[in-house]
Amino acid sequence: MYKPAAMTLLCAAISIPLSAEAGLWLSDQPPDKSLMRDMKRSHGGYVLIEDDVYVKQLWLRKGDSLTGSAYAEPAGASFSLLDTRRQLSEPAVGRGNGAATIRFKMPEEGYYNAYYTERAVENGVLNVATAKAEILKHNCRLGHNYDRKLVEPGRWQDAPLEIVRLRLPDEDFHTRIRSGNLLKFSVQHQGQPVRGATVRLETQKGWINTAFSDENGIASFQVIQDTFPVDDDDGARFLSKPQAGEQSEKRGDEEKEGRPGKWAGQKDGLQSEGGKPSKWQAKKDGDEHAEHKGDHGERKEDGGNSRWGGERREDHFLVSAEYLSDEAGAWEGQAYRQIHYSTAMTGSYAPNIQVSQSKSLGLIYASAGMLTLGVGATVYRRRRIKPFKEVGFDER
Amino acid sequence: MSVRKNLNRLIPFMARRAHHERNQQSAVRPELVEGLTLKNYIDRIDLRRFRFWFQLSAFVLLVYGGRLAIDLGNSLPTFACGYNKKATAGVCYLLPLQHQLAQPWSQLFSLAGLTVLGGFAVFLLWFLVLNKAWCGFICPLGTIQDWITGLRKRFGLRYGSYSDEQFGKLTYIKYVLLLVLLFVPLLIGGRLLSHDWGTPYCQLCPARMIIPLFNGDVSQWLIDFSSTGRMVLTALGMFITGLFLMGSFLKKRFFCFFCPMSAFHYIFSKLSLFKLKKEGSKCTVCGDCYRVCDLQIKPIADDVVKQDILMDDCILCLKCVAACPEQGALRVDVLGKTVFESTKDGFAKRMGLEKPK
Repeated sequence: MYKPAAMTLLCAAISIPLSAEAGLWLSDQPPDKSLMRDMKRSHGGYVLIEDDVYVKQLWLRKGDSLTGSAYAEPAGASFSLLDTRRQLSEPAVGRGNGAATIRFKMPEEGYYNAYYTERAVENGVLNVATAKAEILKHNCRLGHNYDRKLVEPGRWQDAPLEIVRLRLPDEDFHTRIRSGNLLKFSVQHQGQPVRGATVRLETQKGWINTAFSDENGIASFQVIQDTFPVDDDDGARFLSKPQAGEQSEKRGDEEKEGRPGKWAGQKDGLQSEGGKPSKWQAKKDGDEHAEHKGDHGERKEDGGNSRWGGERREDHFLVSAEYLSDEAGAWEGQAYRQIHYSTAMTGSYAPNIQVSQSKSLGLIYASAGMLTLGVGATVYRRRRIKPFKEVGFDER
Repeated sequence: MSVRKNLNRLIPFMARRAHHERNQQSAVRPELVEGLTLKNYIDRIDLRRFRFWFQLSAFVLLVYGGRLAIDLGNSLPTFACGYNKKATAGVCYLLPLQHQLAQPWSQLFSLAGLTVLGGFAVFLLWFLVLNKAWCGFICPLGTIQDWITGLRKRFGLRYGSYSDEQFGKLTYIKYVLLLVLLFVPLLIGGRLLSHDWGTPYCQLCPARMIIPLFNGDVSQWLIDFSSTGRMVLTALGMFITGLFLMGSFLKKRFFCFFCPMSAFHYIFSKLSLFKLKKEGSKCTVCGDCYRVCDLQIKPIADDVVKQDILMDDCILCLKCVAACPEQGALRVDVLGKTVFESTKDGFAKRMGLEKPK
C-alpha cells in the first residue's frame, strides 16, 4: 500500500514514454462478428438481452490501437467486476475463438466496471497490466428518475492502475461525449491519484495525443473533431452520406465473400490545405469511417440495424496510462527491481453536432412559414371582399 | 311543397320558442335564485378570468416546475415538452410513446413490450380525470395560442374562420399526424426506416421550438443536416413553427385543429369521468355556443339529439357552457354529477346583465 504523497513524488520522477509493449484492453466486439446478430445496441454499447435483463460480454484484446489489436487469451490472471453498488465480484471467464471473454448481467441502472489484471516479470521488471471497461446500463423504458449519483464513476480501491473518466458538467445517462468536449481522466493507483503518469489517447482514426497527469492525477484532452460534413450533390451537408447504411451493407457482403471492400485502403481522410475538407476528401473521410467501423463499432453488425447515421454515428477512442515504479520484490519466484504499471480503457465520442446545424436557415424556414400563411390569409380575405353592389327594387 | 317547406322552418322555431317560454318560467322558480350555494357560485363563475389564471398556473407548473424538482412523470396527456429539458415538470406522452414504438419488433411484440402498455395506462389515468380539458385548461401550447389571440385582440384585428368545406377537409389532418407518429416509429423498429426519422412528430411539433424559449433555450431553432431524415423533419418543424406563430395570430387555437394529441384524446374520451353534456330539449339553437367556440364546432349548437356532445376538435374550454343562456342546456358532469352548467343567472352575470342590488 502506498501513501498518496509518496506516490505522487515517486511517479513524478519516473514517468516514462509509452513503451512498445502492447497494452491490454476490453472490447465489446466479438472476434466472430456473426455473434453480434443477437445483440442490441444500448446506451452502454452492444448487449444481449436474456429474460429482459441486459447481459454484457467483453473480450480481451492486446495492442495499442483500436483497429490493430488482436484478441488475447489470459495468462493466468483474473477478472473483477464492480457493480453499480460498488460491490466487487469475479465473473467466470470463458474462452473461444482464441480470446478470453467474460459475461455478466447488468440488472440495475448505472455504471459497471470490469477489470482484468495480468502480471508477468520480464527483464527484471514486473509488468502489471490492467484492462478496464466502463459500461453503462440504462434503459429509457425504466424512466429517468434515477439517482444522479449513479452517473458518478466507480473506482476499484485495489486497482494497480486505473483510469477514471471524470464526468462532463451536467452529465446524465443520455450525455454523449462529442468532438470539442474536454475530457478529464484521473489516473489512480489503489484509489490514490498518480502524478506524472503518461496518458495517451488514440482515436479510431488514428489521432494520438499524449498528456501527463497533474498533481491531482488528472490528464485532460479535448476530443478532436475528425468527422466533417459531407456535401451531397444538392449542396446539403450531412455527417454521413445519405446512403451510408447501404454502402456499409454492400461492403459487409463483400467482406463475407472474402474480397476487400470497395472502401478498403481509403484511410487517409485528412484535411486539405487550409484546414477545410474538400468535398472529395470529406466523402473519403465518411468512407473511412465505414472502414473503421468494420473493426470497431460496425453498424452492419448492429443486429442488422445498419442505417444509423447522422448525429447517431460515433467513433471510439482508446485511452491508456502507464508509469514505472522503483519497487523491488519477487513475483512467482522471479525477482524484479521495478514495476511497470499500465492500464487502458475505451470510450466513444460523437461528432460535434453543431457543424451540421444551421440556426440561420432555421429562422429563414420559420419566417417562410409565417410569410406564407400571413400573405395567403391576407390575399384570401381580400378576394372574399365583394365590391358594393347597389340593389334596386321596383316597388311598383 | 312550399307549405311543407315553411312548416319545416316553422316547427323548430316553435319548438325553440316553447323551450324559451318554459325556461322563462323555470327561471323564476325560487330555488334557482335562492341563496349562494357552492353550485350556484360555480355556475356564476367568471370563466374567462378563472381560465386565464388556471392556464397561467398550469403553464408555470409545466414549463418551470422542473426547476423546483417537480416531476409528474413522462406520460402526461398534454404538451409538456420533453425538449424543455430540466425545466419541464413532466413529459408529453407522445415523446416516450414514439420512443417505445421504435423498439425492435422482436422486443416490442414480446413481454418487454408490456412496458408500452404500462406507459399507456399512466397516460390513460391522467387523461380520464380531465378528458380534453387538458387541452383547454392545461396545455402550454394552447395557452400560448390564447395569449397570441389576446395580442391580436389588442391590435383590433378580426379573427379568421374556416368555411364548412375547409373545416371538413382540414379536420382530418390531426388523424394523419397521429398515424405518422404511430407508424413511423414502428417502421424504425422493423428496420424499414433509419433511426434518423425517430420521434417524427416531436420534430414537427412547434412546442419543441416554442416552449424551451420560455427558459431562454433557443437550441431547437435550427435545421439539422446530419442526415436526410433529420434535415427533412427539422426543416418541416421550423416551417410549421412559422405557420403556428402566424396562424395563432389569425385564427383562435389554430394548431389545436391539427393536433394529433387531440385526435388521440378523442379515441378515449368516452371513458373519461369528465363529460360535456347537452340537453337538446332545453336548447333554443341560438348559436351563442358556436359563436364563442374557438374551434368552430357546429354540432354544439345544431345537434339537439346527442347528449354526449364532446367532438373530436373540442378542447373542453367550457366557453360554450358559460355562453349558453338556457338553464341546464349545457353542463359538465363528473362521475355523473353535474359540477358546472349553463344557467340564466350565470349567463346574466357574465354578460353584465344583472340588476344592481
